[in-house]
This record gives sequence, C-alpha cells and structure tokens, in this order.
Amino acid sequence: MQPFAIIAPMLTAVLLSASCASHSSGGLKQTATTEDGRYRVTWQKTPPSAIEANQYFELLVEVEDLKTAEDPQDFRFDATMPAHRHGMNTIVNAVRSEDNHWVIQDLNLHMPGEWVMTFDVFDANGVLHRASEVVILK
Amino acid sequence: MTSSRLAIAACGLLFLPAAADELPESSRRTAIAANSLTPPPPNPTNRVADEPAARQLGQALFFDPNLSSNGQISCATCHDPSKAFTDERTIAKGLKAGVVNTPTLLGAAHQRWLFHDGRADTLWSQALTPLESDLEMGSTRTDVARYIASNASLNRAYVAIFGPLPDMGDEKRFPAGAKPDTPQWETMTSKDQHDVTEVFVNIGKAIEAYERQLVPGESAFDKWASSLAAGERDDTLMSDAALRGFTLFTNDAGCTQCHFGPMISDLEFHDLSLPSSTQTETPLPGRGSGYPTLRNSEFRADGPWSDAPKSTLARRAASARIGTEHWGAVRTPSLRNVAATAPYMHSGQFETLSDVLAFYNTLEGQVRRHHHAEAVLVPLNLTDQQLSDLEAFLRTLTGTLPPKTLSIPPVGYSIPLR
Amino acid sequence: MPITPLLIAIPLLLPAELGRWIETHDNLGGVRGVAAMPTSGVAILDGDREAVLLQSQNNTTRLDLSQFLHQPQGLSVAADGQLYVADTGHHSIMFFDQDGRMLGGFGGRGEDEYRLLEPHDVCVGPTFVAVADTGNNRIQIYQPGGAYIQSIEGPPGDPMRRPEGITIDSQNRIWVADTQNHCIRCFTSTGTPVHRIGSWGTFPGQFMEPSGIDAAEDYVIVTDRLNHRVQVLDISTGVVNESWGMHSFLPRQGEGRVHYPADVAVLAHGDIVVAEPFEERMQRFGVTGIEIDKPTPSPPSVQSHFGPVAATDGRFFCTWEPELRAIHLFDLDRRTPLRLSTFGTPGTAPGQLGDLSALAIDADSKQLWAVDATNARVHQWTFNPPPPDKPRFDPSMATLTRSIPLPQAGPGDLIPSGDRLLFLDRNQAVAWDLNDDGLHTQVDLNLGRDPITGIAVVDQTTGEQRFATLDALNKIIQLHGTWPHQGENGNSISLHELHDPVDIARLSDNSIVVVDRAGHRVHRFAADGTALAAWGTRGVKHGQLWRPAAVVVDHQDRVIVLDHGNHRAQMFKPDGTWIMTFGAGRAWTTIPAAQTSETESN
Repeated sequence: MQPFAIIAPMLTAVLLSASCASHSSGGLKQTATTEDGRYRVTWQKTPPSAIEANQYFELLVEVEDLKTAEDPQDFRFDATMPAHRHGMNTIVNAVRSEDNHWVIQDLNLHMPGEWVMTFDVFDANGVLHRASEVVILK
Repeated sequence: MTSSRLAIAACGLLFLPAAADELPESSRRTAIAANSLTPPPPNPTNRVADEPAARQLGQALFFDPNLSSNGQISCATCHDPSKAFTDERTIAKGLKAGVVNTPTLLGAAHQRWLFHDGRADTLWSQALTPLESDLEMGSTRTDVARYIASNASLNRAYVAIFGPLPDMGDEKRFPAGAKPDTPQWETMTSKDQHDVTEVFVNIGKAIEAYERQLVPGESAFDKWASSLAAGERDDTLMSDAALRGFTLFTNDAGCTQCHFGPMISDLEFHDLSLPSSTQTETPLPGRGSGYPTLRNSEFRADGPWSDAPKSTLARRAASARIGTEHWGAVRTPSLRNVAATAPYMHSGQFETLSDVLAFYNTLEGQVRRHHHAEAVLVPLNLTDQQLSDLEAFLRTLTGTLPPKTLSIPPVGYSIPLR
Repeated sequence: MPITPLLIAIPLLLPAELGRWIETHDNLGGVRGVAAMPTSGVAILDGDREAVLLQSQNNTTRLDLSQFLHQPQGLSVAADGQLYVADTGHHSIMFFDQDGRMLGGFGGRGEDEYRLLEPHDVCVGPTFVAVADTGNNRIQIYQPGGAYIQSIEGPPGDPMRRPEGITIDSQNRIWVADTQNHCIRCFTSTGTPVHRIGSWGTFPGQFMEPSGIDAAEDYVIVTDRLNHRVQVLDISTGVVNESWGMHSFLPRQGEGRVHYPADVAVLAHGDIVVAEPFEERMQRFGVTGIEIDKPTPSPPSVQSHFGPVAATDGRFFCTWEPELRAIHLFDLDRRTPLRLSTFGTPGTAPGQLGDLSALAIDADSKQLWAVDATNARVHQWTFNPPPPDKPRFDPSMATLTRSIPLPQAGPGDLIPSGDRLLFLDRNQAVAWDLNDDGLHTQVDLNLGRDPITGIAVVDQTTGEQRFATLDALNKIIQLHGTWPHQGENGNSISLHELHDPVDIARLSDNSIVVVDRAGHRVHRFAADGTALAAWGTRGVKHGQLWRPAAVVVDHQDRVIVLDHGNHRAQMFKPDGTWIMTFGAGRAWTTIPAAQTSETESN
C-alpha cells in the first residue's frame, strides 16, 4: 500500500504572546500554591524591584504548609527556559533563614523570553511538591 | 502552574514618553537599554582599578614587548589599537599560532567573563594568562617581575603604587624561567613564590586599570538611541536601511535573544554549532573547559589574590553552573564596533559581516555534534534586502575609538629594544 | 588557597587512528556482548537467541546455549578458553567450555553480598572474576569458580548507578562503565577508587550511558551508547584522547558510523570490535582501516530517538527520548498524532529524569506519570492540552507537580487506579500503593516470584484489578483476575513460539497483543491462548518493524507499536493492517484528510 499523504503535525512553537502578560510585578510579593494544594509559596525579589534579564538577584521565600503543622524538610528553587531547553547559568544557593523561610541567592535569568520558575518543597517523607510561575522577561 | 503570567519589563520603560509610534516596543526597549552604556562597573577585586598612576603603569606594560620571552610580543601585538584592539587575523598568533580569534578589548571591562571560554572572571586575571602562555608571550612571572625591577621607570612607578619590590636581582632566590610547574619554581621558598606572584598579580591589576579606559565610543546608533530616550527621535541619525535593520534585529531576526543590553551581548555562553574554521578542525570545549579552568585558577575573583574575595562580583565564579549545553559554548561577543573587528566568530570562521548574516539566514554548514545543542537558532530565511538592512544597522554600532593618547605607550617610560 | 580540582577530563582529541573502519558483520541478532579470544578471534554473544559465536579467521562455531541462558547481556573469555556469560534473566554468571558444555554458575537473584541482580557484564582476570551487578548498583568480585570475595559500591556518597560494563586491565585494576552516572570509574583490585571520569553530556570526554568497556595495554575503550560513539581513554590519566562513530542519525547507516553500541572488545592483534544489537551487527575497527567521515552537518530532518517505553490512555500518547531525557506528548484525536509538548530535564535531582522504565497517562485528570528507574522516583506532571480547534506545540504544557520516592531504584510499571497509583516493581514482582505522603504500602496482587517484563491493565477503577502480566523468562502471559474465555491453560497464554517478547497491551475484546523484539513482529492472542493475528517483518518500510520495543492500544482499538529500531511509531488495526507511521515531526497515513476538520501544516 502506498501512503498518499505526508503530514507534518509538529507545529512551530507558539509561545504565549506578550499580550497575555500583565505588567511588571515591580518586586511585590507573589504567591504560588503547589499543584496538590499542600503548600503555599510566597516570594519576593530583594531589594523589591522588577526582575530584569541578565541581572543577578535574590529572592526571599516563605513556605506555608496548608494541611499539616509540619515544617518542610527542604526547599529548592530552579528556573528554566522550556523553549530553549536550558536553565540558568548559575547554581542557586538556598539558605534557610528561619523554619519556613529561605533566601535564594545567585539568581540570574540571563536571557529575555519565557522562564518557568519552580519552587520545590520537600515534605518529611521526601516527596517533592512543586509550584511554578511563568515569568516573561523582555 | 499558577494561571497568572507575569511580564517583567526592563526598568524605566514605563516612564518613557510615547514617541515614535511606528517603532515596535521591543525595538524601543532594546535601543534604550543599549544606550545606557556607562563607565565600566567598579571592580572591587582590584584596588587600583581606577587609579591614574596604575592606568599609566598598565599602559606602559601593555605596549612593552619585553614582557615576552623573545622581546617581540606585547599585549598590543594582538590587541592593536589601530585595528580596534584586535589583530584582524583568523586565529591569534603570538609566539606560536593560537587556537581562537582575538576578541577586541573595547568594552572588555564590561564583560562578566573573559576569554571566549570564560576561564577568567576579572580583567586583571585575564591579563596574566597570555604572559605565561607558551603560545602567546611565553614569559614567566619571575621574569616579568625581574624585568620590572630592572627597568628604572617601571620600577619607580610600581613601587609608588604597590610598595617595594622583592630583591629580584638575587638570581638564586628568583631564578630565570621560574613559574609553577617548572624545576626553577621548585627551588624557590614559599615566601619568594608568594612575593613574586604578588608582583605578577599587581602587574595584571595595573594592566586592567589601563584597559578599563578602552570603552566603546559613541556610535551613530547611540546618538539615535539618545534622541529616542530624550523623546526627540531623530531618524536622520541613521539611514533608512539601518532603521529597518534595527527593527529586524529586535523582532523577526530574533538577534536580541542573545544580543541585548549596553554591550549588545548577554555576556554569557552559547553553542551555535558553527562549522569548524579552516585552521581549527577540533571542536573547542568552550565553556565546558573554561569553567573548570576558572575553578582551578588561583587568580579567581574569590581567590587569595583578590582584593575583595567576598564581594558580589567574586561570588560569580563560585555560583556559575556548568551544564551539558555549555560544552562547545563560547561567549556572546559584544556587537559594539562589530564592523571594525573582522574576522568573526571564536575561530574566525567568517571573513565578513555578510558571511555571518548568511550563516544565520540558512544555518548552512552548521555542525550539530549531538542532539543537545541549545534550541536558540532557526534559519532566518530573510531576503537579500533584509540581510543588507541588518548589515547596515550593524555598521551603525561603530563608535569613536579611544583617544590617541591611549593608543601609544605613555610618556615617561622607557621601553628598551632587544 | 588550594581549590579542589573538578573531576572533569579535558579532552585532547587526536586523530581517530583506532577508529578506522575495517568491516561490518551483519545479521548477528541482538549482539549484546563481544570478547576477545585468548590468542585470536572473537566471541560474540547473540542475546536474542541465547547463543555464542566463536569467530576466528577461518571458521565460526555457533554454541546454542538457549537451554541455559535467558537474556544474557555480556561475556568474557578466560585465558584457558572458558566462556563466562552474564545472564540477566537468571541473575547469574554461567561458565561454559568451548563446546558449549555448562561448567557451573554463581550468583542468583538477590541483594545478599554474594548474589546478583540483573548482571550485565563479566570480566575474567588472571586472579579474579569481576561482575557488573547492575541491579544492585555495585561490582562483585569472585574467585574464578564463583566463591565470593568482595563487593565494591563506590566511595561514600557517590554510589554507582546501574553499572553495565566491566573490564580488568593489565595492572589488575577494575574499570567500570557506570552507566546511569554517565561516567567511567577505575578501582584497584581491592576496591580503592582511582578515577572517576566524565559526566552526562555529549562533548568528547563526556558520556551518555556508557555501556561496554575494555582495556588494552595503554588505553581503555568505551562504548558511549546514547552518544552513538566510541571513546578512548588514556589508561594512566583517564583523559579521553580519541573518539569516533558519532553520529549515525539514521537507522542502518554503517561503515564506521555507530548506533546504540552496547559493547566493545580489543582483540589479541589490536583490532577493535563494537557490538550494536540495535543494528544486529558488529563492526571491526583498527589502524589498518579506512578513515571515516568527521561529524557531518545535520540532515534536514533528524529523526527522533523514540525511547523504548510508551503509554496511552486512548486520547493521548506519550513516549520519551532517552538522549534528551525528555518526554513527548501526542494528541491522538487528530488525523495524525500531533505532538503537543516535549518536556523534561536530565539529572539526578528530584524532579529531574534518569532512565525511565514506564509511563502512564490519564486524560480525565490530565496527569502523566513516569517511573524513573535511576533516581528511584515516580514523577507526576499535570498537562493542559490546547482546545481542539487551537492546536499548538507548547514546551511548557506539562508542569511537574510531584515527585515521589520509591522503595528502591530499578525498573517498574505504573497502574493508575482511580485516585490511587500502584507501582509494580518488575524485578521483585511486588506492587506498592504510592500514597501521597510518600509512605508506600505493599499490595498483594499474587504476582508470583518471577520478574515481570510488561503489564496490561484492564480495569483501573477498582482495587480488584483485572490485568495481564508478561513473564518473559518463562515466555508466558499470566492473566490475573477473572477473564472471559480463558483457555485450557487456565490463566496463562504460552508465548513459546516468540523469540523475545518485551511488552503487551489489551484490546477491548480482551485479546492481547505482544511485541516480539527479536522477531520484529507483533502477535495477537485471545484470552484462551488462540492466535488471532500476527504481523511484521524486519525492515524499514511502512508496516515493517525493526526491534519493536513497546505496544499500546488507543481508544479506537488501534495498536500503536513503538518501532524502536526505525525511530518511529506505527499504528495498526487489530488484524495487523497498517494505518500510519509517525514520529516527532512527520506522519505518513492512508487516512483521507476529509475525515478531519482541523488544519495541519508543515
């Protein structure tokens, strides 16, 4: 049998356009909840200002367990550019400042475009619970 | 993932007047950001980085071929002021043929990482490598220190800035040809090794002080961008072709993925899977080896020879990440003065700007050694007119060169001929 | 201030003199291991047919060892000519004389100090036998007769991860292809670490799943499986100084190009042979051969390396690409499958991907799971497919939401069951209920003791699962729960006519399809064991197969076969009629365009 059609279903990547992006957070506190609703992560750039492409910065992060009174075992931050299949050029240093507070150092989103910031909270049994936030840098 | 998507724009944009309606916002933003080239950022790891006396000494050293083993090669041999501080060669040539194209020094003090592979994180530590490289100047830190001590004008200037030199005339304590990993070096005491390395480092810091003055001058594009920033956009400062090219550059051509900011570079590393140059068949590991080299360097910004090892700047080397995508990746060059710095790419693969643009247009000859190259480039498929417009824009980035006084050895120093 | 040197070998590449191509031996079956004979010649392990070929200049002897072996992966020839075979299926080392008589064996499945779990390679040295104890993440050292001496697990804090290749050099040092750490290790004969060379990556000096390894007098040679190349290390420094073979982008490219190499051997006279089970061939290289091409520009359309696992819930189909450590997600409810997303990050941190052994997907809850056999985790993503009228590719479509630690590393399957998720440990034939809190409860599914190769789930809605498991060791399908029309054999279907059954799936009429990797064929059986259909021959045309690795059935009862050796998937009707071939970027089909309304374009 001779196939008579050649189809290319792989569409050109269509990233969300800037039109669906809101204006700059301006360094205000942001909140994201893990997909399973277990943890709420609040983060803020320090000093408070907008994140700029290719500039080093730090984040203050607070993690709240919405279901139990347990402290998270650990916390990890990362940021990647899914369209480019790479992440940051820095190794992020997460310093636990209080029970549920971390300072995330050595951050640099070095290219403009769509970044996905991930906030990974580890419970006492080592299960990773992730909250994500898309950031579009211009 | 939360439903909100944040767009975080460059600071200041929100306060711009709404001039030039037909200019795309992305072009506006890029122009304003590129127009903000300020003097080089402070370098706290070098306490003399901005001292006039160190600038003078560094300039003298920069042009002095006696720092090389054969007395023929100075920093200016490859970084020739008359050639926009490059050598116009495909591959650099010092004592022997090198392995990469010579980058310009114009704006070097704005770079985050030095060398194509980023194996230095300060300008002063970068300046030390060629001095001891067998391919470049072939000297040793001991020979360099001995020369400084023996040259009255250099000696006087050094002492005035850094304090007394060790007794470099004592050939037993400071044997010729001594540098780490040589038999002569092993004969020296730890203190003498330390003292001669300190002189060596100070020489690098003086050279940095000079090089920090080699900043890109104002270009036609800068003038146009200034008019834009002032709300008085003057399109007569650029040709129509250049204006069209700039719009392409900042939009459809996607150049601003990597070329943005004051230096029109992200200052980081990417693998474009470039074809090999005729002179370098072996792929260079780029950042993949540059970073381990930096990690092992005693001259790191957070190392013992730094004047501010705990500064924010010094943290960069410690926090840098090496990933799969960094193997073969080289530093994004600044596009400032790009028309004056041919040939192009880290191995001088392309002779002209139009060759470069032709490559980006088709990616013809691209060698993907694996599946894992960054997914940054796609063929642009631009028309000949569009390519011509892009080139016209790139030519507007040529700025004034540093003053003549920075392009020759300074007055008051004697450079003996060998 | 001294700074600890990074353990990264900077390559100093020399011309690939060792890598000059001499000849290719085709049609060798699943040639998973090669070993030098003591004076001349090569021993070749055909893992598909459980046979060893003893090939010398003048003749070839075939030893049929199928009565002793199951899924053998590696072999070694002792100085006296005895053949040692790493038999993964029996978790043992078997040794034979050159007439194929079995002389003994040792190991046996387990974690005890003298036992083995999925051993992939063996090397017989002058004084001891070293075994890559892959499933136990260690090296086992025995006396030649099998008496246990010691185990080597790597330095504290840096354990090995599924080592697959092993050799002993002339100084009695042990070199290991530490496959899932993507590095080469060297130990003294007493287990003291000497070198750790390389990391995950593609550049010369880096590795992606190093598989086979052998040592000559002054170099060590490694097959770098997912980089499709061979790398040569200086035996003193560990620095990679030669590399060749990359990259055969397309199946069947040969004459020096290398595709998924599994093992390598340095022959007595210095030539090198490379085993490529994927291509069913062995290539010989050496300084007298022909210089092969340097890396070439990309072909216009590089085919994706579809991985050996797949899943569907009827509407969506997912598979993965080991080279990228990335998962491809397709929408099947279109004329041809539409790739919606490619996502995943390689690594060993929680949430990053090692080697995946199973995928599962559920369109209703928009959840996707993967068993990470390397990192001992189950990862879970939520994906948001676009509306049917607005198809688009979005690399951010799937968001990792959780990553749950597993009791131990190793291959396993997933059984989504309502709001529960069962994990089936294939080696131990044990199921676990993965609770949200990470505390797992063992579930008794009466799976027996033998390892499970594949599973077909029927009823995902209740705790009383009705499902089928594939026991590749005994070549049977076990039916669990109550099945209609069960045959005389009760709850099993015999697969003894098949060469290498590797995966099963169920159709809506309760018939079961099985892919036979070595037979390049798909078989369909009724629950009573009646053969209903069979199709496929080895080849590259539409409808032909090359080492199919997985099978799933969508909600239209279309049988989707992962045609691993051709880097594509194919879709068939239950009777074997070919419907479609597709990859990450293209599809070929006989379905008329009028059957769909959406617009698809290049």
